[in-house]
Amino acid sequence: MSVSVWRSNASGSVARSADLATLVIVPTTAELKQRIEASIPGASAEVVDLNGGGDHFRATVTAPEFAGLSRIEQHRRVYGVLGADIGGPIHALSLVTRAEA
Amino acid sequence: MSTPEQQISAAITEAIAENDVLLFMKGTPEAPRCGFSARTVAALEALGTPFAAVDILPDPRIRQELSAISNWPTIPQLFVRGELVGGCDIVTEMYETGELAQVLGVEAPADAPDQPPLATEPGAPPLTIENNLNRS
Repeated sequence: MSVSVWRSNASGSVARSADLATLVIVPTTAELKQRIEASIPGASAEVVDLNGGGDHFRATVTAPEFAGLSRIEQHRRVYGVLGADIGGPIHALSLVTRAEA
Repeated sequence: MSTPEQQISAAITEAIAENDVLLFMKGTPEAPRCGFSARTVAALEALGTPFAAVDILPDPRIRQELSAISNWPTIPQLFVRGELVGGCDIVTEMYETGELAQVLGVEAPADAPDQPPLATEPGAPPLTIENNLNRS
C-alpha cells in the first residue's frame, strides 16, 4: 500500500509532525467556509467537495466588498485567504464570486 | 548570467507580449491534461478565435514563474493583449455572458453553444496531480 506524504508547512490545515515530513490532513468544506467567511467581512460562502476527496472544491462566495472589483480581483481576494493551500492540499478550487446576495 | 528561473520568466513575458491571445495550460489544446484546461480551450475554440498555448507541465518552474508574474495561483490562465483575463471559471462565465467574445474582439458564431462544451467534467480530478509544496 502506498502512502502519500506531503512535505509541507501549508497554513491553515491540521498538520502533524512526523519524523521526516509533515502530514497535512485535507481541508474540509466547513473549514474552508469558515476561513473565507472569517477573512472577508460580511462574506457568505458555500463550499462543495466536488469528488469527495477533500482536494477538489467549488466555492461560491458573496461579499459586499466585491462590489466594484473585477472578477480577477474578486477571485484573488479568495485565493489570498486560502494562500499556499491552493496548489497544495487544495488541488483545484472552482470559484464563483458575487457582490450581492 | 541569468538563472534558469530568470530565463523562463523572460520567455513567459515575451510569449505574453507576442501573442494576442495566449493560454497557459496543462497539456496542449489537442491533448489537454486537465479538465479545467480542456474547458478553457473549448470556450476559445467555440468562438473560433485563434490562440496560442503554452504547456506548463514540462517544467515546474514555468508554473512557478508564471504565477509570480500574474499573481494568480492556478492553471489555466488566459491572457488577452498582455492582460490576464482569468482562469477556467472566469473564462467560462465570460463565455456565457458574451463578454469573452467582446474581449477577444470576435463575433460568437451563430451555432456557438450557450456553454462551452465539456470535454470532461470540471470536477473530475486532473490526470496528473503535482506536488507543488516543495516550491517556494
